[in-house]
Amino acid sequence: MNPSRRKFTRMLALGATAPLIPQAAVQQEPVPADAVDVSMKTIDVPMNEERTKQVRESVENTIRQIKTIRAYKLKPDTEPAMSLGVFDSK
Amino acid sequence: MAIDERYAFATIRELSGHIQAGRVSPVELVEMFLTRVQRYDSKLFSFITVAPDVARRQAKEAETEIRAGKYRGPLHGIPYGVKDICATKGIRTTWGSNIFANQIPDHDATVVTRLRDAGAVLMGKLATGEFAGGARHLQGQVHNPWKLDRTASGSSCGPGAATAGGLVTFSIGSETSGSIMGPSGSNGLTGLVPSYGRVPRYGAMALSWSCDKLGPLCHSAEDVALVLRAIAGPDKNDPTARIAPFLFTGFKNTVRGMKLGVVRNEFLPAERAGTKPLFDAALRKLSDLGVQMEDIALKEFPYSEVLNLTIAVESAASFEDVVRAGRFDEFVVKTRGNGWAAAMSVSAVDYLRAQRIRTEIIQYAKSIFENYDALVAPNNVTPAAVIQPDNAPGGGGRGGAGAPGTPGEPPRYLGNLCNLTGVPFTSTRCGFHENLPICIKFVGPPFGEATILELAHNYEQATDWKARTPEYAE
Repeated sequence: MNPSRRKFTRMLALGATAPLIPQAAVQQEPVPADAVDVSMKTIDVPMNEERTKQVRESVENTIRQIKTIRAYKLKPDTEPAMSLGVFDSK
Repeated sequence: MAIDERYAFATIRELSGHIQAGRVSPVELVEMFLTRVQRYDSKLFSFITVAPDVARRQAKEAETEIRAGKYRGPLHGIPYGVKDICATKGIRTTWGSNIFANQIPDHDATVVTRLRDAGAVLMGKLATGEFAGGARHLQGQVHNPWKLDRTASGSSCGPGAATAGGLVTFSIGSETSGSIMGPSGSNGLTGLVPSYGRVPRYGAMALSWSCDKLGPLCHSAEDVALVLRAIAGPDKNDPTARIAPFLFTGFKNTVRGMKLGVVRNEFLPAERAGTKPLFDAALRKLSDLGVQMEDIALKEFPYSEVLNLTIAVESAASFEDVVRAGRFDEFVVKTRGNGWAAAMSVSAVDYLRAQRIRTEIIQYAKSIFENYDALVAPNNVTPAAVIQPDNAPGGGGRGGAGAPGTPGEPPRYLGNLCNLTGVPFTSTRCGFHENLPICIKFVGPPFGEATILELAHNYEQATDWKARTPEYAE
């Protein structure tokens, strides 16, 4: 993994490592400012003010989705649904 | 010989009757449609590539075969268009993108091959939102034939507008999250998102492997059934295509005794939108047809988070080369690349956790259909929106013409549930608001297309909403 992607991955880990918390509280927790700042320096495209703003929004949205997904209480034996074999055909 | 342009809005069933009776030939039909495309698509912009040589050759072949007594079935000689994410050998397939503007496949998508085997006539490639997302593409935006200042919705915007506008008899679109239902609703068509795995996707651009479905947009439920019969079934080139052909031999012409779950929360925004009377009338009509109905509230899950993360990660992987090369400035919708860049760093653990939640949603969806034959809800509670300028932020939406979530109103989950679970759903016209179509949708159990198309067909036969056609060409 190249250094810039390592930083970006670390950014997402920083932003989404909150312990499991009640669903309602997840939506209120702010996105760490440093996590967004790090991400803006690590995407390998030319950055300008507008793109920085857009990337910030994308990262914030992704982190919120991850937090909600992490907060959901799964049954312990649930397997991941993959693209094959979920339904029986008739 | 020029033929009556009223054939432009005829169904497959009607046209096949005329063709078999010799009242019109495939060659005459295709010339009529090609003339209409030349005259009127400058108002709709529904085609990315018109293929007149292919259309004329296939029409001539169809005419010759039919005259020789070799009739392939109701699709024989019928002109259609295919969303420009499906490969067509020798015809450019742009994916709605500047980056792939000159991509010319050396093979046909399976759906194209099967429609050719059924004798259908390919008119050309219909506009798709860039990378099957939204309604903006390399040539601009598609206009709605009902009101030209309105969007045709995306991402199957070309199929929606061309079919509704009488430039093809039917079309093939795709849905990952809203891209058949949105254009079907905005353009007043009968559209179908088949069960995941029903229709092979070989040759179609992959946006999200576990969510993409190809499906028909038509003038009637019967037409949808005829097209689905031609394109469904296993495919040696697509391991996700199930052994599940659609063996349609006709409708039962009754829905008496069927039990529908009315997803009541989905209807609530209709009151604010002013379309509630249309849906109330549709439910009364279904009741008159003998359908039993019962309100149902969907269980809460993080539907949108799971669906959006799944699609973001899978599409970022599908377009990894484009994203890693940093070609964002070549995108029609520049923000798309930023979302994919963010998605590329989602951990596998988080993606798999989302897929585990998805399993529980799938199990829940299957349990619903232990008590109901199908579900009913609005497709679009609001008519097609005004087209936004090309430089407006956003991609024009991922499809779906419904009202956005509003504080104080319960969120609408049903579309997300459908696309996460791969159940089939169909939409048909139930009225007009501000002279724009409004549609209702039926959701079925896995591989339950026969049930939901029976519902749509019986509802269409009991109402006359289909009689009206857009007047943009006058």
